[in-house]
Amino acid sequence: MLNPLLQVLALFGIAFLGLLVWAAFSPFETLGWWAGWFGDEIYHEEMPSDGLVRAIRPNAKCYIIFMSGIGRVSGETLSYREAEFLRTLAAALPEAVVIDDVFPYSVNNLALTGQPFFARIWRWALRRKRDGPALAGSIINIRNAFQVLISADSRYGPIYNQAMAEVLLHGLLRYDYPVDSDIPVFVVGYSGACQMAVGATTYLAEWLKAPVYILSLGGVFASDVGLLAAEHIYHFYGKADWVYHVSLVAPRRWPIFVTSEWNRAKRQGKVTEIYMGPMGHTGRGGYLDPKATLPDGTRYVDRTVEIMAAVVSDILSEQKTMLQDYRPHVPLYLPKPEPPALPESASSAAAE
Amino acid sequence: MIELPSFGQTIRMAMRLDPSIYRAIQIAPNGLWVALLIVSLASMSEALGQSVILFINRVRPRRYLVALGISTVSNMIGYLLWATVVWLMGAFFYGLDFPFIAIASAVGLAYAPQLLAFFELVPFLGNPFGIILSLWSMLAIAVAIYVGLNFTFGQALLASATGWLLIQVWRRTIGIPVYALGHWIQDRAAGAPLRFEIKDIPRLRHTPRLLENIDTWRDLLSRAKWEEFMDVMRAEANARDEQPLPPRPERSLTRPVTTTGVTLQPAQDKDEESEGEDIHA
Repeated sequence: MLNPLLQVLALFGIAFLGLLVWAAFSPFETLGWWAGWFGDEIYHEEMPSDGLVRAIRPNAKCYIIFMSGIGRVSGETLSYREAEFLRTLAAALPEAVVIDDVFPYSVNNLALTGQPFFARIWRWALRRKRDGPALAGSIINIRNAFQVLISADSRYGPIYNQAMAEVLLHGLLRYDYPVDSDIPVFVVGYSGACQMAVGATTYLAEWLKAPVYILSLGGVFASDVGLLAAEHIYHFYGKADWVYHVSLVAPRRWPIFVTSEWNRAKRQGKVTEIYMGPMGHTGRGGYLDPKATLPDGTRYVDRTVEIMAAVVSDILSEQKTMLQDYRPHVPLYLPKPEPPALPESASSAAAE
Repeated sequence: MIELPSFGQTIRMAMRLDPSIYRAIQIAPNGLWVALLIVSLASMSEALGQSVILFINRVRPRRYLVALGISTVSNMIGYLLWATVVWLMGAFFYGLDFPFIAIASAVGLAYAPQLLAFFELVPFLGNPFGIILSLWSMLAIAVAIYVGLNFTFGQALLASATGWLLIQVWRRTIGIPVYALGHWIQDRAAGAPLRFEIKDIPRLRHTPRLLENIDTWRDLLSRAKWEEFMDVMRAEANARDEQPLPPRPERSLTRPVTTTGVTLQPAQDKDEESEGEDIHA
């Protein structure tokens, strides 16, 4: 009676040990990248725009980068809910460029299915994920969850997050983001990707002149310096979502560590928490569900887009005054540096 | 003669800090070999667990393996030092007459917890685990001394603290050239000076070509805007038949470019950089 139980326990023990060994080897990808073993190249797949998402808009007032949850294997979304959400978001914000083709769980945006050695394993896992058994497919989630832990680690985090920031910058530039501008960048971190978003913001904010905002959609993230580097953090959470509580495994997210980055960001008023009603984390009843409806008949995905778009437009309307005041950097040897980048006003002044 | 239990069992008992195994290994005929095997495996595991430092110094793959080997050896030398210090303390401070091999076996067995040092690599959870592991090893060494020298546990703790102190003194006095030699060998093996430590990581910056260009990019952008503005002004001036504006002074767009690789950017560097930008004035 006891023996089979012990055997089952032993099996679990071995599985757990195997998982730990895997976890211990997982940072080698990030570390090898830093050491220059794999080169500096950033990969991307050409994915044509559908007219809304991934469309370069000439008069873009903001850039939105969507970073997906830990179920992904590449920059391409395989979830119809996500695709629906992104299309709705891009339609709701006609002045935004929505980028969704970054893979947040790789140092150089290389899809798992494109990796030199293990591609076959990941392709197999992807098929299992689609066609079942789903348990076999979950090795993708485990692998990506390890990447989230790497990003939150004090040793690997600064390394991984720089790589991630480079991937994001590369993504922005692919969509004609003017590096010299004040066009704000919104990084949407869904679930575990929020840690990646927060981590990368530290460096992205160093390189860009524009403010970087973090929109956390049920996000899981540790107390990271990126929280202070971001202009503001909007944290969306629903009643039925328990996943974002996973953040509490990071001790520095607890209120007692008053000097932690998270608590400082909160005191500085950089964090806005937005309650999303009865929504859950993912799948049916999740933030992106196009089928579940609120009591007033609004689809969940529409409500999520509505609130997110409202946040973005609010910031943009505040930003507008700033954009009008914006003057590009002008070298100091100018004879008359008064109205530098406004030839029209200059000409009218000259005409008078 | 006492037979040791199987290797796995020995390790498990040593990790549980079971005094009987520390006693048994001193008299078992193959005790020293078992202890040495544990020490070498533990040294390897520790070398792997601490290899993050090799990566952040951008060591090449082959050099990485060599450097791992060197740190394994240096960990084993550390073990010899420990065993010698414990033996000398027993002999001189407490006037005990124990064979060195017995002490070396017990101290070697105390390295068993370090077999898990590899797991310090586990992201996020590895950091606290490293702290637990070092406390665990301290306790194991105290148990080894307590059994090895027939001390009370209090005496053993005192002795292991004294041992630690002696090693620190050795490191800072006669040991300096030996350590310098060790560092030199490590640097040679790594093929690059190991300049950066774990605590430097947040200050390190990766500068690939993408980022090297970003400043030039900005420069070009503002220059383009300037040209555009000046063209309009010149056109207007010409239209009004005024004195033409002076031509734009030549200035070079080149600026110090960091090589692809790692640059350390301390806070004061930023100020210097901004001063540098004012040069175009």
